[in-house]
Amino acid sequence: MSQQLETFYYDNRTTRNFLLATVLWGLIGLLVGLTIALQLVFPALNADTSWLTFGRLRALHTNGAIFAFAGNAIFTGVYYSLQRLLKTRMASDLLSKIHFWGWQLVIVSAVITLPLGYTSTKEYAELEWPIDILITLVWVVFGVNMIWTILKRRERHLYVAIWFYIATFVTVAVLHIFNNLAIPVNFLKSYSVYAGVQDALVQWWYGHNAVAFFLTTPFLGLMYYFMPRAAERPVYSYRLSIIHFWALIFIYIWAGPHHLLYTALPDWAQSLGTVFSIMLIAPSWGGMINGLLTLRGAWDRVRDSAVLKFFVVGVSAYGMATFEGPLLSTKWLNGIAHYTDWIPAHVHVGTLGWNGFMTFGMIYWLIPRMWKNGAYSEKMANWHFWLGTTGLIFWALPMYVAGFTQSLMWKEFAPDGTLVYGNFLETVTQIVPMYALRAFGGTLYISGIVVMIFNIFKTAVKGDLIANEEAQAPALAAHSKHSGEHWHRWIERKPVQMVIWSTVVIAIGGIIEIVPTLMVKSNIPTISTVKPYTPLELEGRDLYMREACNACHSQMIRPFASEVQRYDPVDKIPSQGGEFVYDHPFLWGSKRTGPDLHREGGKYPNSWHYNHMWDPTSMSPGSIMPRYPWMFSADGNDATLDTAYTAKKMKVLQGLGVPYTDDEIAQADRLRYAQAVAIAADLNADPTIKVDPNEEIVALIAYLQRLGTDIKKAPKEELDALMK
Amino acid sequence: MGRMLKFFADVQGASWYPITALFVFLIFFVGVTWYALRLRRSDIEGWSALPLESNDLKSAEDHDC
Repeated sequence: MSQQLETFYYDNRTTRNFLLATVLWGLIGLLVGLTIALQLVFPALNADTSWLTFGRLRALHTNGAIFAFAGNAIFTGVYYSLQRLLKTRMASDLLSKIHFWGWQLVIVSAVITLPLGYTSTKEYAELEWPIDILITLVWVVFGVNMIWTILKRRERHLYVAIWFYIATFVTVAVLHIFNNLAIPVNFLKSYSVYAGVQDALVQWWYGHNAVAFFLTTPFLGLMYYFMPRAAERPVYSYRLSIIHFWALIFIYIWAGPHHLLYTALPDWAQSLGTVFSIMLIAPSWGGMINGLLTLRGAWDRVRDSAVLKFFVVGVSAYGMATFEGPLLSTKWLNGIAHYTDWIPAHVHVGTLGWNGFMTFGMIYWLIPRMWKNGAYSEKMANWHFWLGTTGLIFWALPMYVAGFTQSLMWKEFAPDGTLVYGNFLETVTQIVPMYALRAFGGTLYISGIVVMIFNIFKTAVKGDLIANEEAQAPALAAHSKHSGEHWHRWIERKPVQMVIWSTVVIAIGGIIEIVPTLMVKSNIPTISTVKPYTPLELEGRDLYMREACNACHSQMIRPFASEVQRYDPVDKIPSQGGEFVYDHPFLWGSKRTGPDLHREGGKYPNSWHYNHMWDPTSMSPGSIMPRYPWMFSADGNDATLDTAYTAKKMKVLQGLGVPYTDDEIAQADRLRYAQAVAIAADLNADPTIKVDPNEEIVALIAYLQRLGTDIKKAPKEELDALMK
Repeated sequence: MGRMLKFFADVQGASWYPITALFVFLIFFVGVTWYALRLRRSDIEGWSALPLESNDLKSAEDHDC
């Protein structure tokens, strides 16, 4: 029976906008990355400028690469493929426009606020609360537009790529909202509602799943659409795609605690994270195998097609990263790799290889199809491929070497029981040549992007954009669930049910892991001598966050002989969960470009910190840490500490359970000043130092000198019980 | 199988809680696999061809470079 065909038009303009935003922000985000990579080789490159410094730009790079580059790439692919898989135009041009411009507004807000030091410090969730709300609104617009489009479709079955898009929408919404729950102090300052261990668990539940549901599931969706298109053959196994979709979204959500192995996180949560991370290899490789085998019988075309070359290396990089990830989640390997450059190497095989190459392959497939009579150059696309591949190798290999080298140096004991490399800096200077090679690899990779931009520019200028592409399909006939029909078939047809079931599946893991940690008090033994920060220390901690010191310094001494020997040689106490109960947010960090600071309090005199922050090389010759002159009132610079919100900050924290008394809050400024005067007097006793109690550096020193000292005051029996 | 059970038994801190979590997944996984294997071949072939049946295929090939 023939059905009457309806004529409609695909919206290519929104796809074009997201595509151009992808390459623009990709270039900017990666240039920021290259800048900070070079700063580790040439620290003076920050030009003593606060907003050009590693800590502040690192968050801009990661957010730029994830949300600006990969984010816009996802939307490019979704807006193109969704319309064609559903045989309908996007439901609302207005929502498409709001989505596009809203997302760019989020990115511009990040570009302004992060270098200025407005950050929550939670990795990949650094943006402050008003921007978080904007992200939520824009994400909802995207979801409404997508689900509305699905509801008005002309194709009964929801192809597997769309399941991945739906899971992405649902899970990112859940993760974003729960991880960013915070109480505002003012327009650009807030405190996480969670503290210490709980904050760490929620953050890495989010952080790991940002990788899973922003950098994996949507790109798998793109793979399931664009690889069959490029190879001109259907996906290898549709059955496998069903199994690996549900297994992937179920398991991924449990694996977050592998970021916190050997930390103060309860053992049961660490074990759960390890077990599920190892299991994750199966559904991940299910996707990789399905992608690569889609090319069965078409491998000869890989030689000639830049698109297929990008896809093959992209999917292979996914396979490598998802094989390495579970291995890194085992305690034995994690103990070596964590906090070293091995982790950035692992991450960048995923981002540069999988996300980058899948994006480039998709773009090269799209541009000759979206611009009629353009001047697309396959030769230039091939040049990009080789520049990108070489760049990826030069990026990752030196970092694997650096990570392994530094970890072995951290752990090496002399026969007499002392550390062979007792000075942390020795382990850094050893790997600086590797940092230089990494910057070279990044330069090659970015050169490839420049070639791609030129190729797109030529195609777009010479060609005509097919803004509204004509298509025809019959209308969808009415259909209802009939008796005996399988439940999955029913779900596949119903996008709303698909959303609900995806939410249920991802919620199970999150609830089982997080709820007990929040509710069961015995998970985090309290320590009687751990007290809230003084008003001055609290301000100092906020400065530590503003400069993102946690980007290079951890505050988590793992229970290894080599770590307690290095960071707490007298008492040898690894970090305990109870020490962080007033830390909103936690500042454990995830990478040690510099040493751990959790037992920094009392280690050096105040004057050491003063001189070190002014010029790190004066105290540690050869240090690659930048100078922080803007925290000193010198050379005409005004570094007066902003105390307008000190009492308000304490009030907010009091509301979150930090036991400040009303009297302490009322006297916040007096208490702050009294402590500052004492530290300034101690500093001014050094004839080479002249400091005012109100300078920012005094508050920072107060915080650094408090770090890890409370536990030292605990009675011996309490300490013994903790260390059991 | 024995090796696998030993691995889980040796995981530090593993108790009924993670083991239960594991079984929750196992049941879910078996259910999905059972469903996928029972699908009709004709349905599978039709669905997996969806990207290739898009209407823009012909017009796209017309201005392929």
